Amino acid sequence: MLLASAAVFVGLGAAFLATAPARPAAKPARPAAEAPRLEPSPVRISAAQLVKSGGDASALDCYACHDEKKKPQVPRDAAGRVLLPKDHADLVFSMRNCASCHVMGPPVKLELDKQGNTIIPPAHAADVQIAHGDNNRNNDCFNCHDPAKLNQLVTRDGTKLKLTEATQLCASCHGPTYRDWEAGIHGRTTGAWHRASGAITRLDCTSCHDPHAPAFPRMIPLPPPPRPSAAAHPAAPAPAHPTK
Amino acid sequence: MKTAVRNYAVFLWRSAALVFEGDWRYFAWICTLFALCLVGLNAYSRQLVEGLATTGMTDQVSWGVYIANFTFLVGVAAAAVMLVIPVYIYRNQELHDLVIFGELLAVAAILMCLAFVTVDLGRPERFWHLIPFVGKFNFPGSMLSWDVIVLNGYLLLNVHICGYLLYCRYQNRKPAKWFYIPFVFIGIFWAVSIHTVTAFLYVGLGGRPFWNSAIVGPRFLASAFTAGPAIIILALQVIRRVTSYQVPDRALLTLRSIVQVSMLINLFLLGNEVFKEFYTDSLHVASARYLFLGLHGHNALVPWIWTAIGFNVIAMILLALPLSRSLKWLDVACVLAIVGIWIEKGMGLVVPGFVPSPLGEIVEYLPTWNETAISLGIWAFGLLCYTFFLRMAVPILQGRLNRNNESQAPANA
Amino acid sequence: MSPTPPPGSPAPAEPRSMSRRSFLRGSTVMAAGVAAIAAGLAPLRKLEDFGSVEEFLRTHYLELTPEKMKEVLARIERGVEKQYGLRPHVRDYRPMNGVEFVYALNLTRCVGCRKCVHACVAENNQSRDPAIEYIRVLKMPNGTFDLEKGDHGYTPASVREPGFFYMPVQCHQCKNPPCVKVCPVKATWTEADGITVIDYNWCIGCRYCEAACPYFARRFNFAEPSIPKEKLNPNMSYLGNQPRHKGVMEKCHFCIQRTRAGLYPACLEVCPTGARKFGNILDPNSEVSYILKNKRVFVLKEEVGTLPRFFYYFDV
Repeated sequence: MLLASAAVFVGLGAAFLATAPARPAAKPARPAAEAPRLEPSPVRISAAQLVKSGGDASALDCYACHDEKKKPQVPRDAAGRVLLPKDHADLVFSMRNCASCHVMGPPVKLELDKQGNTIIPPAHAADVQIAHGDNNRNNDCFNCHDPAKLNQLVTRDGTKLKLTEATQLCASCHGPTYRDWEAGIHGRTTGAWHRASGAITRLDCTSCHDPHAPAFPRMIPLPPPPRPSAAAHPAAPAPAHPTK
Repeated sequence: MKTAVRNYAVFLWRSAALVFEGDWRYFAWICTLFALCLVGLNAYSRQLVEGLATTGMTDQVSWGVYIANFTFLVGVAAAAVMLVIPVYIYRNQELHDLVIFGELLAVAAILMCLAFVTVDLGRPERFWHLIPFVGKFNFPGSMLSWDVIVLNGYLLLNVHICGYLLYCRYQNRKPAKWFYIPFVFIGIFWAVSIHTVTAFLYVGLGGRPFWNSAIVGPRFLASAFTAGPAIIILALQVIRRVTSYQVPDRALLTLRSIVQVSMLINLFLLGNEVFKEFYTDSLHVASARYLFLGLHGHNALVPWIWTAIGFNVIAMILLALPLSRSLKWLDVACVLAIVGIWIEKGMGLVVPGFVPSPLGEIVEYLPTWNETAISLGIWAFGLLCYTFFLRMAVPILQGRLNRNNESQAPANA
Repeated sequence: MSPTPPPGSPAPAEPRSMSRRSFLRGSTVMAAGVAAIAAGLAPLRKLEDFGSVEEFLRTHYLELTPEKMKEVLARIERGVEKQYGLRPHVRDYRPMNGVEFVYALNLTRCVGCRKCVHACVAENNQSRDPAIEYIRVLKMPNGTFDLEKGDHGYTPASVREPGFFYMPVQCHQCKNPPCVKVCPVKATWTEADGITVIDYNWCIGCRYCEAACPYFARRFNFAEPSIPKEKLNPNMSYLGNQPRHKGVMEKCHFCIQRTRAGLYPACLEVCPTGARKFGNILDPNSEVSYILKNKRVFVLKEEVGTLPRFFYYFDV
């Protein structure tokens, strides 16, 4: 009996040694690239930002194409809705910040045609449109643009505004939202909550909203948390990451 | 003074030496338990190295079989008073010596509890933070700090009472009443407190509606006073078989009536809880629904709880019938009651409290092999301790290990 | 002395005297047993993070003297350098006077893009594998607040989806925090500026706080965290984003290393819609004061009485 138990112990000991993990199992490399640590750039570049930063604002020069003396016509479909001219598609689109959505994969490369116009990927075809408000009644270019001076904005009451003053134009209709924006409640505020400690960055309306289609653009969500499951714990701790 | 110390040392030495004596069945038993302890120890060293990821626990279900077993065993420990009360309050002489067996069981159970809590810690080497005055003890705020005090206090109380009574018996001395009777009575309240405090660990959490119910405390006591005496009955049956110690039938039948009444109360309280949850049918029913019926296709616990209820009901019927006056049937009823309550209180109470998570997520829990090996190892360790305790206590109570035969005995190597 | 008789035989058995043979056998079993214990402990050879005596006898954060704190911070820096090969800046940021932080989240504006979740992971040096994330975003169908109806794992091609609103949940920095109440060793407490912090070097890993939290805000390091070296944020704080080790709790701390330096937390900084607002509630001109005064704010699970410093509101 005693010897039998001795044998059991020796056997157990041998089993323990045999199964003892030899080296810490190498952890598999995490597959996907992850989001940049802090990526505070807004979803689009507003005209004001572009002008202020000294960027290429040539696309904002309406009279490069339009005849200054001739009032442009607003093209409409049979139902009377405004059609977005092809020439304006890339203007609207190229102000989008691709990286604000495409954070996980490789950087986005825009394809240009021979004239240098951006070729809009099919997935974004629906993004380029005139859709201001839910009722299509505000899709007329000249609700905001001065028909006489295209790169000048004009409010309903006739106040003339520069492109860089777009926020005032928005405010002329969106009062409560503008009030919130002024208080720092609506829209992005980045930098220092403690004003003495650092600068604060405020954005104007068109840094987030495309004035021609102001609904916030749909975004690609970043990956969800890995879901633990009762059976997902193998002997070695390596929780599975969902590939999606 | 010097002789007193010497006498005590000889007593300890002779008792300890007893552990290494017995027939082949005894050795087979302790070697098996020891081997299981080793398996548990090996599993625990893995857990220490790799972390609690070796268990089935997750952020959603952050307590598992360790805490489930802990909860059950606190109940077993508390149940020792179910022997003390009849003896010291109702002067039941049949149970008098058996009290020692109950209290030794309490000691073994508390040792297991402490082991289960330790293996559940992510940073066991920081245990000293839990020591009052040495670490940083959140008393009286945290129910866990209360638990540390009451469990260790209960351990000391029981070690003192058993140790003192056994030593007096060994010395052929009448125990000095003032030196143990007060502790016995403190122990009665203390036993209730250990289980109440353990229940309060759960009851006090407002974010967990399944536990945040006043009835959990009484339910804990009722189930403890069912399972604990049931274990003592089985232990006494074993003592009867394998030693020459005479356990009177009437003692077992007294315990039977305790188990009987407690089981009735336990099932009654369970029924209360079930009624409240399902009749109200508020959103808070989710955990109970998960436990009893399954929730959104997740039903890992459903077979367990119905097994538990089945066992409990059969045990209650057996206990209620005169049939269980026959000790064989009493054994069956006890085994069913123990298993039933172990499930109901462990997997049936701890785990569903976490499902769904406070944010409504359903993550199921299943213990891993490593976790199971550790738990088995601790149970084996507890049984080994209890076996050793009995191995020492029985000859002393029978008068076979006595200071009178000190000189006759060879130096038990 | 007489041993216990074998079972079944009521008569006392023959006294067993220790013969040489049985002694030898006994010793063999003993030796085998001891050997088996040693073998059973074999995995412990891989126990890497078994710290020094210094580490073992660490002092609680609140009891560190300024000199001791310096030492401890230097030790943490050395530890991080050893583990990641990168010298960090570990600082002990203290609460500012007259500041109590409050967070307000506009559920009308949140689009559910999870940028906050991942910016938080990057800023706060959370383990990438196993993955630990402080923020959970629930996709809720319009018309209910039953969290069980929320979807934690949504992965549509794009968000937001019509018919749903998105509710990010993180530590609510409660004024009456159940996690602090239950911690047996005072390893977690609320600081003067309202942030509930954890001393990672004091936590024993019992996970009672995790059971107590009604917001699923706390996370446990079930395994040693792993962070790629190049992803490590070297601007660290003792109570904030210093790298954790296995077996301790962690949770959102409002980016202590940023907010106590006057900056916005990372989740706010990265939020594309401006749904997240943060500031000092004791300053009547702060954004959060404006929100609490002018918006219909509410807290999650008000009935549990935790008094969160994290408010939600809809504004359209």
